[in-house]
Amino acid sequence: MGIDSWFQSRYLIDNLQITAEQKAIHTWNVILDENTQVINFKNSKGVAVGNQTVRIDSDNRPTESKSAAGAAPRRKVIITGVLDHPTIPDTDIQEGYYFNLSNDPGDRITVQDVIRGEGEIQAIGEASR
Amino acid sequence: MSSLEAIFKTILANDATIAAIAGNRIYTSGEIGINGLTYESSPEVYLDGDVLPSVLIRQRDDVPDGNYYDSEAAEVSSNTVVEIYVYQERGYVLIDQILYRCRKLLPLGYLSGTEGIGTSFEFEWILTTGRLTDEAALNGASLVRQDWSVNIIF
Repeated sequence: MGIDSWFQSRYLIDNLQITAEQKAIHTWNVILDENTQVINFKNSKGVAVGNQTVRIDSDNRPTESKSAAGAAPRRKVIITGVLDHPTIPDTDIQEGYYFNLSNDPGDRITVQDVIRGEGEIQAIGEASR
Repeated sequence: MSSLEAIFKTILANDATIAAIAGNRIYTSGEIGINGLTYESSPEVYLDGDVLPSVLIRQRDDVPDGNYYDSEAAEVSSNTVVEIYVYQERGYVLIDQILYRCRKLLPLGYLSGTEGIGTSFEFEWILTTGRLTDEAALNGASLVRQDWSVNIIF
C-alpha cells in the first residue's frame, strides 16, 4: 500500500470514529429499553442528589448474610447511566451512593464501584436488606 | 412466666426518652420472625427505605456460675447476658441517647421472683461496643450493642 493510500485509510478511520456523544445516545436508548428506573440517589451522608433515570440489571444468584438483626439476601446489580449526552445531563453516581427501589422500599442498594466510559457510566451495586 | 428479654423491653419501653426515640420499635428476639427485622416482618422499622431508631433485645445462654448450688431446694445460680442492639440509619446520636438512658435505668432493675425466672441481683453493665454497622437485615445501618449481666438464683 502506498503512503498516500495509507493516509487516506487513516483519514477514513478517524472520520468514521464514533464520538462519545453518539455512544451516549446509544446508551440512553439502552437505558430506556428495559429495566428503566427513576432513582433518587442519596450520597453517603444521606443527602438526596435528585431523581435520575438509569437502567438496573440484577444478578440472579443471591447470597445470604446474617446478623443479630436477622437474615437478608444480597444480590449484585449493575446500574447504567449516561455521560456526554447532547441533551441529557450526566448521571451523577458515585461510590457510596445508595437508594431504594420505589416498588420495594425494604430493599437497599449501595453503590460499590463506578466505571466511567465513553457515553456511559456503570456502577456496581449490592442489593441488601 | 416472662423472659429476661421481655423484662428488659418493658423497662426500656416505659422510659419516656427511649419511647420518644424508638416508639414501638423495641423488639425481643423471641417475638420477631425467623428472618429478623425485615421489611416483611417489621415494616414499621423502615421509612422510605431508611431504618428508624430501633432496639432489639436478645438474651444469650444461661450458664451456671458455680456460686450457689442447693440440690435439696433445686436452686442453682447462673449468669445470663442480655444484649441490647440499637440501630439508626446514619450517625449515632440517637443510639447514644438510648444507651445513655439504659445506663441510668437498668442498674436499678432486678428480678424479684414474681417474673417466674428466679431472683437476681441488680443488672450489671458489662460493655458498650464501639461504632458498628449491621451487615444483614439492616445492612449499612449504624449499630451499637450494649451487654448486661444478670446473675440469677433460681
